Amino acid sequence: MLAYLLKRIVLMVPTLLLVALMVFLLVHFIPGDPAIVMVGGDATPEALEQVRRSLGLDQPQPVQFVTWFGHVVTGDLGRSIGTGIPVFETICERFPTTFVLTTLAMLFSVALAVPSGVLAAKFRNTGKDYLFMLVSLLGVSLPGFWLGLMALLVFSVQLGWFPSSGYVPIWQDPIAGLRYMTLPSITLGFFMAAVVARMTRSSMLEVMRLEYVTHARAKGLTEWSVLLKHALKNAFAPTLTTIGIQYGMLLGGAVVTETVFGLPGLGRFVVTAIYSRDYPAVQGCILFIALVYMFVNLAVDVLYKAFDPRVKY
Amino acid sequence: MYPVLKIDNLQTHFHTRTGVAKAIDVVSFEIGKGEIVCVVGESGCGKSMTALSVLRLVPHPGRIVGGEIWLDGENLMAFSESEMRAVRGDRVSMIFQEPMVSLNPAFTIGNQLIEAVRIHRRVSRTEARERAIAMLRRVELPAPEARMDAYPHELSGGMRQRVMIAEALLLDPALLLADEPTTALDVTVQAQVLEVMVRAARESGTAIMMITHNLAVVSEIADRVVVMYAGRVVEQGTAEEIFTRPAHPYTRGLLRAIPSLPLGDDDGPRQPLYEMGGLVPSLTDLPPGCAFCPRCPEAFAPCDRERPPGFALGSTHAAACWLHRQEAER
Amino acid sequence: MMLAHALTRAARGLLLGLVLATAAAATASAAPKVGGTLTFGLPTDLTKVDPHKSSAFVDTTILSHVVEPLVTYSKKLEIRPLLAESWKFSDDYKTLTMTLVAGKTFHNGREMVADDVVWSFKRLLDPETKNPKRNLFENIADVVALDAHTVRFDLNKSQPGFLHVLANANPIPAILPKESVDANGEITKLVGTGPFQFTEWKQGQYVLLKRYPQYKSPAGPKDGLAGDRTPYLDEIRMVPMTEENVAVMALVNKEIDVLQYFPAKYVEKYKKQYSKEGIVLTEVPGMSWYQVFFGLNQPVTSNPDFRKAVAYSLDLGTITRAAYMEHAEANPSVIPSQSGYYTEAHTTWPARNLAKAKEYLKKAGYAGEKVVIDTTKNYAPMYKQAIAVQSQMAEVGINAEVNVLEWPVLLKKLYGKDFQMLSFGIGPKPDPVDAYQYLNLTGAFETYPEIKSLLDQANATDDTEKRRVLFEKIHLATVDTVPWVEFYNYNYLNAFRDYVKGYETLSIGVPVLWGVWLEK
Ligand SMILES: Nc1ncnc2c1ncn2[C@@H]1O[C@H](COP(=O)(O)OP(=O)(O)O)[C@@H](O)[C@H]1O
Ligand SMILES: [Mg+2]
Repeated sequence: MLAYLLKRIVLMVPTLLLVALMVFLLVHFIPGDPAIVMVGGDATPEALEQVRRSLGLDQPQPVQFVTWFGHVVTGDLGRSIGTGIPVFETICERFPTTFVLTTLAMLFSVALAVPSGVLAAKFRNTGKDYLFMLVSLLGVSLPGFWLGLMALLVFSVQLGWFPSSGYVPIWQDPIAGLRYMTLPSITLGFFMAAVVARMTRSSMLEVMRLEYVTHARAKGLTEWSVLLKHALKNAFAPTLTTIGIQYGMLLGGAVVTETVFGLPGLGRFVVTAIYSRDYPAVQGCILFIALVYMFVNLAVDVLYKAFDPRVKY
Repeated sequence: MYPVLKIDNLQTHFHTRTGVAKAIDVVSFEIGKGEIVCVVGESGCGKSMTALSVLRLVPHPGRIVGGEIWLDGENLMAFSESEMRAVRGDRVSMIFQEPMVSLNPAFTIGNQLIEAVRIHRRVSRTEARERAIAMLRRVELPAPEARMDAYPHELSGGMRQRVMIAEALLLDPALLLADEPTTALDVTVQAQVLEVMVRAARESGTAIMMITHNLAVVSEIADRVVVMYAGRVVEQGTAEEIFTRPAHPYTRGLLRAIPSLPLGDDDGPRQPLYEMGGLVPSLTDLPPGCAFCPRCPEAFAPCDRERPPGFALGSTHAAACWLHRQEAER
Repeated sequence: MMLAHALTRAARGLLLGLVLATAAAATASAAPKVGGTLTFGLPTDLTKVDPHKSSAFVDTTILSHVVEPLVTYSKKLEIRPLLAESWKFSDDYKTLTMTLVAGKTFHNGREMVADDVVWSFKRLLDPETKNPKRNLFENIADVVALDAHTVRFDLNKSQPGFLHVLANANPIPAILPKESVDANGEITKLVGTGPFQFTEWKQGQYVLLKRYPQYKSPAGPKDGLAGDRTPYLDEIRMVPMTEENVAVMALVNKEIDVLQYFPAKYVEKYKKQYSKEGIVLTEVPGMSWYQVFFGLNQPVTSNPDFRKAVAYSLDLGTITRAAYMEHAEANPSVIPSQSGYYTEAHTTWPARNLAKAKEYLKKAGYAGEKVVIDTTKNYAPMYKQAIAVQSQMAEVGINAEVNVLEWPVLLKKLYGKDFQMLSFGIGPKPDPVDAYQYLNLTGAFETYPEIKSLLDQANATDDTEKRRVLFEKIHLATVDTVPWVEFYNYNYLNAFRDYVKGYETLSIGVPVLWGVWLEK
């Protein structure tokens, strides 16, 4: 187990290297550069060239990559061109919010999705199941942006249960923090819930056709024990993989949620950075998010064995 | 004294989009106490559904639409769902064909055996565990204590089926439904597993409804044989009657396909079953006459128009075939 | 060729003036109260704390409360003293000598002196500081401290408009104390001389400013950014409200007290509902200007007759409404109506005339070639006006195509002079010289050297009358040559709770929170 973990972590190094190169190329191949955004519509071409030089953008790209990468391996992600603040500092300041948001969203969606997936599977092809399918279809197709605004209109403006703006980190004041996080994590989790519920339903149906489920019934178990013990544990393994993949999507979806709810997360920062071609910021943040995603995948793989003992490391 | 199981005009239909599939068109037979009854027939003729009907576990969209099932004189069709649960696994248990998929891969052997005990008996986990280990020993599973903590995938197919047998017989049921329990196993272990099952069942006085299409097995263990075709019982009798005096052309076809078996009174050339030509008819669209008629080498006037009832050929022997009308009427 | 709306413009200006006047009268009736926290909704987060490094307008919005330049703008965009109390140009406009206000202290308690001015400008000009708009200050050859309260600016070239450089809003040429910089040359905690002290920045959450009790305000009544600048609020929390719908909700929920940009699409709702719920909306004419540039070096658009045809095909009023509904003023000139340089000549522009447009197309030999209008959706008006332009051009048979690009790509095409038509918008440029500099981006200086020479003349004098005549000439030259079509200046819609008193936004777009108090 420990050896497996170590192996996986060591294997992350070449992956990260590749990600670093790809991120660099991607970011540098989109047209426009940070200098042009910084000077806005206001500068003379000479001034633009000057800014370019001061940012080192006049260097050939391989040189820029080597310079950047040389710093990255020593743990220095550089400074954001936009804010002048070290990228790593910004990540440390902003990522916890995104992490809390996505994790709460994930917990919420699993808490909502797994039971509804199980119920839908139990009542398959009945009115209840069709209703569920409809709701989950809505869940995947409603734009997160719209959903967030609607949630704000109803729960914050009409009912006044939650604030519509502002933020307190949950680790500073858990209760106030949770109030600010509730709507965002629910709206963010809703999309994932729809996906996870559908996955749960279909893998439950898959599993329930198998002989061991009939066997469990033939033992004299109640239908609920059959569903929740025998079927669900097996059906949860593929669902877990989906959750892992979806977590990656949540990191992306967080951008919209963070914008609508004004949360100071990393997603919003990255998008701003992309728009302003803030190379060091984009590269550093994406590299970091890739790393997080790799760890999430590792966690999923480790957890998977708990649900499917047939897996070998 | 009541028979352990009495199936009386059972009808189980599947309501599918393409129509009603009469998986069990109509089936009646009995199993006496401690008796081993083998149910034989080609694939798809309703053997498994008969067993599942007894447990009232016919899968969706199937439903028992008629008939009665009597267990020790009690009509199971009148039981509530919770009364049925008390029957399952305790008075009637079942072994499935595929030991690879009939044990839950996500739980240890021990977990599944202890669960089986504790559903029906108010005993502690330790007590249930001991009982399970003792049972594993009875089915000759090597190192039973260690196996308790193993997952199904860590066991061979034969060992897994022993575990299934152990579980099925844990609570000394009156009836064991064994649905092709050795078909999926290696030929070399089939006999051992079968032997273990029969012995353990005899020890606990459990009757067995054994579904198989291995007639060699039937000849070895069966007290009585029920031959099914297209959702009906076409012939039943003692093992001796079936093997020595098969009355239905279908039964004869089956026997002819087994080279190592005595052929009874027909001395025609040995030929495999499929050479009877044709396939099992569609259960959604059964012909009006005898279902076997289109494939029957001996079909004559009434066969394609009227369905033959069961004609008694003796106190224990009956066949549903117009060939035996006179015989029965005599 | 007078615009039909020239008259209504005057009427509207009056109306707006009235609204503001009554608001001012209402606030004037009560005496200011010290204390309280005001939460201010900004469109985006602060980007840089360091005014010498910043180039984003949102930074000015925040930092102008904390740091101060030597001179600043009145409401009518005249230059007024701030840290410098008086100044004198040499006759050749190559040296400027300024006397600093005595007794002005930084937030760390130290007095601001001439050395600080020298240090601040040296830092701003240092290429290592990497201010993207450093070129604005490039004419400064040297800054010398003559004594503790006197500095001299030596310029490379004569520049009568140099005071506009010192009053620049973005970036602010702020006077900072040397000791606010850390070992790496970075400012992490900003120290200035302004009415409010920079207290805390939580990225993406808020910027907290606190009243500077020892603030020494310039004399005279409050006038734009000049005059009385006394702070009354104890604290200002500036919060980024990146999503406009949510920003409105926050204002309705009293989570913020002032919303800097109230979305135009909510004005109807304001009239019906919010106005009765204690929210005040003001509309202030702005100085941002929106237009389409022609590429003078490109096929089809290099032909002046074609550009004239386009001019005749467009109706500025329609385009203005398409982009901003009724919350913008159509204006064919780069000089906004509030400017002292705005005269009737600046209303001159071809009125829509389809027959004339077709006539010019024929003259241009236009044969249905495709013309591309580059634009971006990152700024909605640039996109909306491009669509309106395309459809009006289509009516005279011009085959135009709208090409939506990302903002940085649009900028790249602009700087590369790599466009036929480019839909754009520019922030406030109080000095028309700066605004007309944009003609260079279309290539007009090369193609029409006479325009460049008029601009050089305007740049060489600070005689208002002379400049006024020159700007009129330049405008009329653009009517002849059509290097661009100017559309409108949009209004600033500011909304705030009725207990916020004394609040106003200036037409250069900077909200002013000194002189503001809460009446709760
Ligand atoms: N899920 C199902 N849907 C429709 N029909 C089914 C289903 N399961 C079984 N049947 C019908 O029941 C018949 C008998 O099946 P089964 O009892 O499993 O046969 P076997 O004799 O091989 O055990 C099949 O031929 C089929 O027509
Ligand atoms: Mg079967």
